[in-house]
Parts: sequence; structure tokens; C-alpha cells
Amino acid sequence: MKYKFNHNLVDKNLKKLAKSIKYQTLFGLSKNHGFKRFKNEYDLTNIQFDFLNMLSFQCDISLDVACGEVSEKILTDDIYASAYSYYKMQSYKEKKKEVEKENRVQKSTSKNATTFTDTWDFKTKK
Amino acid sequence: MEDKKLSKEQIQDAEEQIEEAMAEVETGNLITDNILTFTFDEVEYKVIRPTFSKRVELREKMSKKKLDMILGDTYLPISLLKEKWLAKGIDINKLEEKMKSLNKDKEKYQNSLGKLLTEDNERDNLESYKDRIKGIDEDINKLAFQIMGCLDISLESQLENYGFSYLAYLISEKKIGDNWVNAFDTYEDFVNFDDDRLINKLCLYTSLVGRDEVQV
Repeated sequence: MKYKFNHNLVDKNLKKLAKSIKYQTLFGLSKNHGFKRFKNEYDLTNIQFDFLNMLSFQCDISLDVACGEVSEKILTDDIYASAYSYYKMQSYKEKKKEVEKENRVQKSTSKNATTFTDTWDFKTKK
Repeated sequence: MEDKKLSKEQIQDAEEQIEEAMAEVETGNLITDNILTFTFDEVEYKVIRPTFSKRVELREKMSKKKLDMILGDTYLPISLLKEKWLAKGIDINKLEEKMKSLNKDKEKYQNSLGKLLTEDNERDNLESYKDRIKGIDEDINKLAFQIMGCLDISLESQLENYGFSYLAYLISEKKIGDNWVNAFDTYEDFVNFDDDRLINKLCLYTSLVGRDEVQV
């Protein structure tokens, strides 16, 4: 049998593993209980980084599905999953912008208020 | 038990399934540690993360190679190569612009599809959005191949290839007795080795272990 093993195959299998219950459980344990993910604790390889990214991505979208924030269809198709992830990131950016804008407005109003209080003219007791 | 003969297709299917399973197991093994090992022609090989001194050696070799390339007249940097292609009627900047615009289109559809997936009445348009994104992805891949095909002879690309193969030479080891030694005595031995299967495997493992080390 001719044994082919290439980059695309590695990526495909890595995704499969990241979606598996075994690795999702291990990922959850490592996040919450400091469970060791790999034999090496530091100096991670590229494939280990890629795998952690995939695990984290899968964990996030599974959580969102469980919370009912998105259709469970995203677990069946990578195009759906990455589209949802993109939308989520954009929404987060927009919300962040809004919050920053609100903060700026609040700051400027409080500045005005300070200016106002600064000009208070306290009457001295007669 | 009845002795049934399998058809050619069934045998092929079974072989493919075994191959897939083997590849899956191998991928699982590739992530457990930062040392990747395999056996080839009954010799044990390993590919490891480069040490500091190996990183320094790689940087030095790449700098020297870059200088040689700049001083020589075989390779052109991307900017000059683009001009040469333009004279031949291929505008790479335009192709890159087209790719950017396709990426923007893709993001637009992704945003709409992602939003749709969070709504209750999502079902109708999902498939059409998915098909559009798939179509754009295909166009992007075609363009990327076209651009890569034009620029892989550039100085930058050739330097990256050199850096990558030098890294593969540096971090490949083989076991002799109880000791691990360099898999090849010299870089030239590595490049001129006559069995491509071993070199391909070492290169694949090198890319999985430390492709980030080669930055041009």
C-alpha cells in the first residue's frame, strides 16, 4: 500500500481530532484544572500551536451552540463555523467601539460637570 | 463462515480506510511532544525544535545566502520581478488587488451567513451563502496559485526555500546504537540524498515542528 502523508492530510486529521470528545475533554481539563496537554510544557511546535487554536475554536463554538446563541449547524460544516466566528468577531469589535464611544461621551460630560463645579461660587457665611 | 471474495473496489475502499486511520493515528502522535520520531529503512529518525545555537547558525547562513543572491544576477526581488512580468503582460499588483477585493466579498458573505446562523429563521439562505463563499474560495485559490507561480522564482521565495531546507538539515537526527547524531554530515549530503521519500518526510516534519523559524 502506498502510504501518503501530506500537509493537507495533517490539517484534515488535526481538525478531526480537535472535534473529538477525547481531545475536547482533555482541553477542558487542561483549562480548568491545569491538566498537562502535551509531554513538553514549553517550546511548542507549530503543529501543537495549530492544534491548540483548533481546540480553542471548537470549544468556543460548542459552548455557543450549547448556550443556544447559534444554530448547531455550525458543528457540521467548516464554512458555517468560520462564518459564525467572523460574524462574532465583527460584532465584538462593533460593541467595543460603541462602548469606547460611550465612555468618551461620559468622560466629556463629567469633564463639563467638573468645570461647572469648579465655577461654583460658595457663599461665605455672614 | 462463507468465504467471500472482495471486489477490487471493496479492497481499494478498505485500503483507503486503513490509510486514513493510520494517518489519523500518526497525526495524534505528532501533537503529543515537540520531538517527532519515525523509522525509515529500519533507522530511527527524529526532528526536534532548534536550539539557540542552531537558530543562530540558520540566521547566519540565510544572511550570507541573501547577500550572495543580491550580489549575483540569478534572482530578482519581488518588486523587480513584478516589473518583468508586467512587461510580459501579467500585472501581479492587479491580481493581488483582485484577491483583496475577493477577500472583502468573502467577509461580507461570511458576516451575513454568520448573522443568519444566530437567527431562528435562518434556514432558507444558508446553502446559497455557503455556495457563494465556496465559489469565492476557489477563485482566491486560483489567483493565489497564479501569483505564487509567478513569484516563486523571486529572491525572497528562493531564500525561504533555502532557509527551510537548511533548517531541515539542522534539526534532523538519526539513532546510531544508543546515540543520536546528525542525520546528515553536511548540508550538501542532505540536498543530494537520493531517496526523496526520506527527504520529504524530514521536510514535512520540519514544517510541523518549526516553520516559524524561517522568516525572510
